[in-house]
Amino acid sequence: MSKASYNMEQTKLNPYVPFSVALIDKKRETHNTYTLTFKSPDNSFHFIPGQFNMMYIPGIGEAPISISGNPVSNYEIVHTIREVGAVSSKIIQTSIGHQLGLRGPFGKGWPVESAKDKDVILVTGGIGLAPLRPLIYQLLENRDAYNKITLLYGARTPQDILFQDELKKWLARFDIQVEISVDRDEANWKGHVGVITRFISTSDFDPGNCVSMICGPEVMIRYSVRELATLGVKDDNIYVSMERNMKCGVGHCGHCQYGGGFVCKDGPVFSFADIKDLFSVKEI
Amino acid sequence: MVLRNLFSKHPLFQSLPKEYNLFLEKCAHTSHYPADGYLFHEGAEANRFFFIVQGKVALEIHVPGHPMVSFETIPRGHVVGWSWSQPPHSWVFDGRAVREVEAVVFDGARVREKMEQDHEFGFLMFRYFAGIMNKRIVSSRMQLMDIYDAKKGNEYL
Repeated sequence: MSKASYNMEQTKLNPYVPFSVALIDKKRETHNTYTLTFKSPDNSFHFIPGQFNMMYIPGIGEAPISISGNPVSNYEIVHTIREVGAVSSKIIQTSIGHQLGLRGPFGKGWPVESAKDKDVILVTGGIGLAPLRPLIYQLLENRDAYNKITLLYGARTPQDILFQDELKKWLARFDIQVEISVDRDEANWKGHVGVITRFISTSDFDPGNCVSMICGPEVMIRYSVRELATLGVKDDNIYVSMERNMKCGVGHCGHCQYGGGFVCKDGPVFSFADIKDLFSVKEI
Repeated sequence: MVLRNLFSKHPLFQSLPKEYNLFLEKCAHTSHYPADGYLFHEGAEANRFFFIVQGKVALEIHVPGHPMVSFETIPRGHVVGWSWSQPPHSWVFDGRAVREVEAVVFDGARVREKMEQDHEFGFLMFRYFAGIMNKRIVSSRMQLMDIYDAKKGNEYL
């Protein structure tokens, strides 16, 4: 990919044309998850928290990966990637200084504006913390604009917890409540064990004046929504990030069709009120 | 009065008539458990339940030849223990304070006796504890599903 000559302007004109980005930093988060930082070609990469890019390895394929960096850092493009398939494995194997292709950003992001002056409750699990991290950055940088902020994060084991340095900083803050829970205990773990959704009922937020944003396995989302509804949170104040097999990124190919819409174009962040009827439909 | 302040906002007590809250208050006292201290042990007589005010309690099971397995922690604001309500009234697991725990401890034997005598009270208590059991069963099943396993999707997040 090092000989590629794409640029961002081309992608803006034609969303099917990737631009090349050079890897400038790679950080191991867990045994199978890495955070990769690419240099923004013209220091003007803008995105909304919750959006994703299509990452392209010539000869291997393309995969949609959510953006996990700080939205104010226009000079870099940050992705946190878990090694689960051929494309993600090759992306992670990219060496510093080498380039790969990128299209984006695509999709609709988190409702940062409509959450202002409300309590914000974020529920996430596994790799789902990555698409929420830009949102957390934005909420904390504009902390006065929001009421109480709660982050509930579930992971498989203590070894699978992402962004451990940042989580420690957030845990130390007095203006955000953070609860972390793992499904399986390991030696010396002093934190919570059990599903993260049980913390919803004991978190300090006003169900009548809050916005909840949920990102993680769909099973976790379903039980989170149920718990929030039990407490009286309305469907249109719940936002979920959906995961489907996105290909084109612009709603043409149909791979990620979700009812009458497309996850890549109409999502990945949806108001639960808009997809409630689809949510219980199996295999959609 | 101090006791009432500790648990008055808890759903159990908000769902009960005043006379039953007064009864529960008479059955309760506060207690502290140091980090790694045990609230109860598997096989011992179960005659208490606990409202966790501070800290968290790990439910553990002993597997011969292995370290204790902690399969769930009960955080503050939650209630621990229902073995007191079901024969043979003995604890099924160990309960260990992960960090220092402050708890309101209820006399389960007295509460059980009252439940048998006053079926309205018994119904309200069972309804509450059945809700806890339901949530714990759902939680256990979610843990068993191993939903964060990389092989079960999420490549595209």
